Amino acid sequence: MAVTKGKKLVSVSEDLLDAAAKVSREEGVSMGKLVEILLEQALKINKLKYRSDEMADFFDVLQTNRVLGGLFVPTDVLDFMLDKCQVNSSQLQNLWLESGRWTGKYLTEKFDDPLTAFGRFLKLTRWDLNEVDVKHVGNIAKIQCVSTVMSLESTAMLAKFVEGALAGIGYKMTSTDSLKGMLIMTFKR
Amino acid sequence: MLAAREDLADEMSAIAAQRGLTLFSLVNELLEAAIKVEDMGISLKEAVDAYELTKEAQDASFTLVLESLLYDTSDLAFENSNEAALKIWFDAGVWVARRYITRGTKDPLGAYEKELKVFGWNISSYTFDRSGQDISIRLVSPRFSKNFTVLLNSYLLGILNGSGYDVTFNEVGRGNIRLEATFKGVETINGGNKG
Repeated sequence: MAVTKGKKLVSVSEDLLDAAAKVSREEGVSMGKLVEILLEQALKINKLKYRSDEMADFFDVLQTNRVLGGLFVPTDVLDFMLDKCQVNSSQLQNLWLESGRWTGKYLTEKFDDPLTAFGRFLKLTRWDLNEVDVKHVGNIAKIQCVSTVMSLESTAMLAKFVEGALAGIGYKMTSTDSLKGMLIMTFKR
Repeated sequence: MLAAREDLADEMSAIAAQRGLTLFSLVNELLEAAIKVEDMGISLKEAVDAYELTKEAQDASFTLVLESLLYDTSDLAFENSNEAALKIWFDAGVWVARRYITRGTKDPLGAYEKELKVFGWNISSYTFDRSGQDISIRLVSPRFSKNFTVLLNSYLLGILNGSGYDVTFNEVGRGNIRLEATFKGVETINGGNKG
């Protein structure tokens, strides 16, 4: 016996209706179907333990990575390569510093609040980090990163990258405390 | 007011309640998210799919590194220790393939191809052509350095090996990889073969 699923009326804000109608046209579906698709996605987002209001920000940062040329690499492969490269070499340190600087400059152009965007960028890209904390008060910024798995070499290179990124945003490093898996860095504009 | 499937609306009401919101405000939040990502040129579904894959990459201990940094770091590592560098990239490929298999994926190469659609931004073109038990992979990216291409080739060899393929042809040039392989079956823990 076929079962017809019941329908329920769902209220939406009137000022969103026009924009939603545009979305439905672009996706080639009716408004009713769009609502159904969105609700299905919302359930999926909830299962992934995320929130729909964060989805646009997530994708914005992912797109930023795409523009900057982010590549996925196994973390232990990266650690191995950093180990083989000898992180004391100024050549390697400069690479990471300059890459960070370029990232910071791009974030400054793209986002109104590049510091907050950088925090989101780190959270998205560095899953070996258990904690990323970016605070700024007045012209002082503090970045704290903690990882239970990051190697000493990886921590050192991340420090260079962060230093470069903040320089690209317009901050100068005033202090740094770096141990295996932990970074506490302070900057001043 | 818009009509929605009752079961979906009920589940959403439960989520709204968990978050201390009304269904109205949650649906509006959803619509706003869909509108924002549409302005970026994608649908909400595509954004959610990308997030899901990103979570999988996170669970698999991948990290995002800017490509210029990765190519330069790879070059230095390769110059310092090329055999060890090749081995670790190969082993990483095997691990990725085996991970797909242990999660019940019947076609690890297909899963990798799907991930490339989301994450293979830097690859100009790639093809995975199948014919019976044979597969032919072609990957082109002028952006890759020579050493990085060699390392990525090693990674693909690892994925093929972990997926139960024997490589019959391999050609690597800067930014250009060609591989042909035949499926032989995945080795089980006891050393047997599982086709």
